[in-house]
Amino acid sequence: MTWLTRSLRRAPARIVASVLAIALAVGAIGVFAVPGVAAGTLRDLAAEDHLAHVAADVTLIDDIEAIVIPGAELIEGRISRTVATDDGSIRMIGVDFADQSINIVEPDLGRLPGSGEVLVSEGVAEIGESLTLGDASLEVVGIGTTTWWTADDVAYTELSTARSISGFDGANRILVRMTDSGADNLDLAVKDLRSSLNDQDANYLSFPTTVPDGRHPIEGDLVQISTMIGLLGVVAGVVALTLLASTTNTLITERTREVAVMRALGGARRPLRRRLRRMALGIAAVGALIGIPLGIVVANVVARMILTQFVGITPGVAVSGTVIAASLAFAMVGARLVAGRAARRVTKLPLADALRDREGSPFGGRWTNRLLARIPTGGLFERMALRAGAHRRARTTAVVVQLASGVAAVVAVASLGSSIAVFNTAQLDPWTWQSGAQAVDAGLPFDASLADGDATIEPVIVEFGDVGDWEVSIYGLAADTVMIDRAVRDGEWLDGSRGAVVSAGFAAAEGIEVGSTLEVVLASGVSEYEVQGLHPSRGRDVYIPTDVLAADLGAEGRANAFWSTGTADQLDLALPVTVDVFTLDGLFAEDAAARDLIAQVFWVIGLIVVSVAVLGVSSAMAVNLYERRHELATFQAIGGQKHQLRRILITELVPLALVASALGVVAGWYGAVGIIGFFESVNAVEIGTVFATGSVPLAVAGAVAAVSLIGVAAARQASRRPVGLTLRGAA
Amino acid sequence: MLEARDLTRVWGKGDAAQTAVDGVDLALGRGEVVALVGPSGSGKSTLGGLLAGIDRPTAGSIVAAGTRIDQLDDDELAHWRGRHVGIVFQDYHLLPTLTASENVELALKLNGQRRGRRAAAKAALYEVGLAEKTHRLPSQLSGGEQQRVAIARAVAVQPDLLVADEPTGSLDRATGEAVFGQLLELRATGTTIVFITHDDELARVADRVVRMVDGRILPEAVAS
Ligand SMILES: Nc1ncnc2c1ncn2[C@@H]1O[C@H](COP(=O)(O)OP(=O)(O)O)[C@@H](O)[C@H]1O
Ligand SMILES: [Mg+2]
Repeated sequence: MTWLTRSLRRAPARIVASVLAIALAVGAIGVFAVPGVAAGTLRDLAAEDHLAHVAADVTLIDDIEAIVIPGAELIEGRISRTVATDDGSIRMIGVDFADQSINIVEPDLGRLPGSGEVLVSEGVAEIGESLTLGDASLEVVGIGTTTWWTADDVAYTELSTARSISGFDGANRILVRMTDSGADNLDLAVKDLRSSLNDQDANYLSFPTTVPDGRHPIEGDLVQISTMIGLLGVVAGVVALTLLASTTNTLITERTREVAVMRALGGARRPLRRRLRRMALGIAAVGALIGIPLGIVVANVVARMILTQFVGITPGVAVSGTVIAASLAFAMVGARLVAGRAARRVTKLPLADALRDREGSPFGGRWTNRLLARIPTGGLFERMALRAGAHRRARTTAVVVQLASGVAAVVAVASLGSSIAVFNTAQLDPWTWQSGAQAVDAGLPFDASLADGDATIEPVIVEFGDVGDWEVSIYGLAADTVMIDRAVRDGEWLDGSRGAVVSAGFAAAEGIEVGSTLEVVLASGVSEYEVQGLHPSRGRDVYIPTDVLAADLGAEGRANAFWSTGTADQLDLALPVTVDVFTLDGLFAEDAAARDLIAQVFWVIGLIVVSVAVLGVSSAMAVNLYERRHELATFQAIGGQKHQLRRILITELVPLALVASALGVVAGWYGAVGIIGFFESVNAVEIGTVFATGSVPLAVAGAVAAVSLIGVAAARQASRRPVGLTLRGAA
Repeated sequence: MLEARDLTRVWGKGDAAQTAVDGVDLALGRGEVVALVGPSGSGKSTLGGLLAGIDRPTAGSIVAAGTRIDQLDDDELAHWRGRHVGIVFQDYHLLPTLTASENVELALKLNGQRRGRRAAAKAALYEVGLAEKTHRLPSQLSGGEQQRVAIARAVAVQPDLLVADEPTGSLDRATGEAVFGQLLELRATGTTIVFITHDDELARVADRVVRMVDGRILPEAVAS
């Protein structure tokens, strides 16, 4: 440590730069913490709000007390109904506030409502205003929500108020918390709840939502993006590692002469090595001390970006102990390993050479060097450049690895981005409808014959169900529908019998084939269909004839949506409940917005990786210049000018950039393929990797430009110190 | 050929400031051979560096071959060195990644020669007795051989001024004398030679001996 303070006094810029480099390397590892921080934030909220493990929309039941679910800790019944307001509609939830135990609603402002009063989520209305719900006008007395509905507009009223507004008695939404919230146990709970409902002549109106293991229901939406970010953290880690290694290496190499003097004065190797290692560890520790808060900031900024943009939650600051411990270990163990090697090398140099502060191993020590010296490739400058690269293999490798990870990050990020873009469009691609109106609340409230006689409008059922361990989208469509491209990859489109058409990617993942029997768990229970065809749609979709599906759902001749090949105003069917009206163009636009967000997050991370890479290369170049200062000074002493120096350094770096680009493009592509393949397998869908060709020239040009700039800066650096001064130090 | 006036070089700043060369006036004629002698720390190397244009004076002027070299910018100065100066250092300073021949070729290139560099380099190495070792890397040569390459490098460009700072300091006496003899052969081409030495015997071959003490040049009478 005394050495550290002494070095700090002697060469503050270098030490500060080393500390910052290590800090940045450690900070970059913070990217790993993003998924953990995001999930941790959400789980804290889930615990705080006592979120439901099972939430089900059901046909009206009178007697909540009669519902029995073995292993249930809490069961609560509510009213949920979308009702008209003055300027649209809103989800109204009736809660027994005196007794609420699940999805707890709390006011951020004001208070919980009594009878004739309402509490609304932020942005719906202000306290003191009145809010029209159906036929009633209620006074707003509080602003707040439960994070279950975090991104939605909701009006919470007393249960009795909601009952009188909706005209419903009892409850139509059931929330359950289980003692054991494991996924398998929740599946059992769903079954138990169904049979308990059936005992009361009730049933599910739609497939219940289950949220296992203390998760937040939103977490599922974030798994993909945060896992992708975590994987990019791997790239950041690789770059950080080379940065740490080259920084530590410089620190020790620069002390060659000092160490030699100490040895000459009788210093033994072992204690000298120990001192060198301690100095490196000291700097690594200080770097980690700065880097860890930096990493916490990186993780929280990215996590916050995702949470606020995607789910509308502004999280507090969360900290991942594991990642902090790992980054500390990374800095200390990494510095220790590299410092050990460098210290051994520095203390093993022949004393005479070391005292002159000559290069550790002269060029020509290896047969490859000698061979290279025999090959007169290009002009003298090119030879100098090439051989300098070959001479310091470790550093050359480090530079290539750093540049390659930068390029790989750009290519991977761009390819992931374009894959997601293409995937999103491809997801909507098969649809041929243009607009739709869908019931907001659960159930099949429409008479399917309502649109009879209009060939441009069809009744449709949009539902969810389970196939195997997967949640799937279930679409009820006519056999002769014109709302979707009926071309299948394998088999036939629906013929109207008890058949199903399944997404090809999902079918492949689950081993589903044409002719096999598909078991689907619907809201109403298990139904079986013969697989008739495999459709190129990209999701986990199952298509079933509308009338068959309606009957299976216990509502023969009914539907919950109308789709049209025309514009939305043609859908004016005087529907009896609140509907969501949407257009395909609107969905495309929403997708584009989501895509832009994802792209933003990715570019932020790509930028972190690239800047760490550039810093790494610059730091490697600093060692390089230090080690070759006599050589470069000699070159100038015999008449070499700055532009010639620049040419040599750039000639040395550009081929490395090109090799690194080639490696980086391949690595980036396989990285993207791997990441997407990973998501395909964990989601049982077909995503497909789209190579971002346009990013290649960009990344290559960026790498070449970066090294050229570094070369220019290095030439300036090398020619700044008077030649005589450098060469004198050698005498 | 070269005229220095009131040349001063101060190392360091403030309390640590040390005047290594202190108001030196010096004129060197074309083809003159000058030995720069004096006790260690008297400022010989500093003066040599100033004359060779690898360092800049704190004050004073140097006119060499008609150019005020103390007023050139870095690149102009480097260019001037390449064209007009040969430098030999005590510890050789060859470029480690270039072979003996390439080291000489590089000097020729920086001297502005476009043709026949390889042949000229071969010839220069032949002159210093290294005809057989032109393809060796510095690390494959002995100290004496390296110094001979350094001399070939300085001599090959037929400089107007050659500055050698203790060129034999790292060599044994016999090798040193041989190497030194090769340096002196430049005399014939009209090159002005300044060599720094501790060795009075070597100094004797010079046309003139300049003696330094504490950064100043002793008057000629006192010096001899
Ligand atoms: N780069 C330098 N930085 C600081 N002081 C220097 C430097 N070079 C030389 N000096 C000082 O200038 C004085 C003259 O040094 P030098 O020219 O090397 O003498 P000589 O070659 O006669 O031994 C010495 O006191 C030396 O310490
Ligand atoms: Mg000296």
